[in-house]
Amino acid sequence: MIGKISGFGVVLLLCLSVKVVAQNPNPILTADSLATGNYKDVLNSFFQLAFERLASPDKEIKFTGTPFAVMAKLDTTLLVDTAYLKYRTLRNINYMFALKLDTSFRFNGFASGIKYAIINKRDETVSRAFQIMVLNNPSVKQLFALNNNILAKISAMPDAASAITEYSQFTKGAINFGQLSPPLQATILAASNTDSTQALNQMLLANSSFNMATTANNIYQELKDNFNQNLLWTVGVTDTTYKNQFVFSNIVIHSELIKGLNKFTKAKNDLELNIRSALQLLDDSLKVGRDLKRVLFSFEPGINVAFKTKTTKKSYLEMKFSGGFYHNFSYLYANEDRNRVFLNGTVRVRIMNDIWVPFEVKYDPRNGNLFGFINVRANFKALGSAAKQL
Amino acid sequence: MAKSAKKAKPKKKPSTNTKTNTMNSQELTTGALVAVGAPHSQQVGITFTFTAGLGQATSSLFRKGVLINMQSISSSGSVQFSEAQSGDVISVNGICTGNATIVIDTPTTPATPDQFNAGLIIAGYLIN
Repeated sequence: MIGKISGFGVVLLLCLSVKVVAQNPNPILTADSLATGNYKDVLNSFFQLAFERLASPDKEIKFTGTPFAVMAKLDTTLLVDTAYLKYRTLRNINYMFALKLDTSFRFNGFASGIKYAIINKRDETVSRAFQIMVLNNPSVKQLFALNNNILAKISAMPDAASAITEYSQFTKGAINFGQLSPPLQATILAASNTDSTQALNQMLLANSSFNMATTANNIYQELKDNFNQNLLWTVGVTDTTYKNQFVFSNIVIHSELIKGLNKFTKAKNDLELNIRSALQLLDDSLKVGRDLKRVLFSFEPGINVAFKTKTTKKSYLEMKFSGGFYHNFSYLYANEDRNRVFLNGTVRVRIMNDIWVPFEVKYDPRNGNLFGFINVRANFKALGSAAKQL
Repeated sequence: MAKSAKKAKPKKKPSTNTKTNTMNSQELTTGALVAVGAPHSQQVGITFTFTAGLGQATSSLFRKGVLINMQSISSSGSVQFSEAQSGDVISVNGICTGNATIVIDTPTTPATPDQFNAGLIIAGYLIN
């Protein structure tokens, strides 16, 4: 009965999420499709729904969100930059609720958690430094100078109205340079023939399919991608309850750090440093009753490699290699080591724009054991997009 | 006598008292500039609203090829061009990290409000 109720709850949650996104496209829900799956797992800026350990006896349906996303949904004036900046702290908080299910998909416990980004140098939406970097970019300066030069010339043209209508289509990317009328082409070439815009002039002369919006967008995305490789460090607490009485069965205090390693290089693929550590407080099953006296520490440094498409720069496959060191601070069980070392591997495959399937493999070199987990993680944006395609 | 030894005729020096050739010298008068008001001049306000991220923009007012006024804004708000005239062109260059909306409080071509997604803002408007 509880299993049915939890299943119904998940379906309802999905329906609500689709409805919310489809009704009013929220700017919070639109960005980040270019971010790596690993980054989204560490801190997400909107909502994420995850189906974890699908092949394991202990399955989990997890919802992650930010308080700010919910607040902004209720009051869209919070999205205006002056208010948006004030809620920076709130935007760095993630909360999580999860339903744990057994092999028969019946309720097997509840989990919740909170996470805070102590250092978040990746959020370009609140970074003045990012704006300055973009505005000081030589290519951006050229585009702005060209825009001013062209508009100055249009203001002196006898038929300025038709010229600016056509030029607006060009700036919006609706038409390429070659599709402009010959007089406007000549005006743009003349406007670009200055010292400050000489590179653009050469580009226009050589390429009739030059698209101003695409060019501007590519420059911006490249700068944003590089900025999104900055340091992110989060800390948090997660707890799990038993399926009855709602007493904590474990509490995990965790920290995670990610940082891009090949920033500002022309490399096609991203390299990302990922360091995790956690302190787990668990029930000591050798003792009668429920307690949290078993204390385990883990430390997992790793490297995430994201393979990206050539033109859109979206990662379609990610591979993470990490080591794991585990230390038991409490009483040891029979045949249990105080210190253990694992080798971990995770492969994330993007099956849709916002849906990732991570497959995790853990190898114990000492005992030769191999463990595997498979998860599915979907952002609500993807569900909204899927609904529109129906 | 070799022809090459012939003394080169000096080029005529450009006259120093000719009119300066600006690109619009034929129509640019003092009265056309913002410094001097005209009966048909108007104050034009441009409102920028940046959402889901910070933004920054610089708008310039051009009249017959000449830069008349330039103002920048680094958060949501308005800039005002006093003494703008029909036929003037407003250029907008900037950046928005979320979304941006530009509204000009007078009829323009193309019409506003104009919406922009995250990225560079490159736009121009003719005051009707």
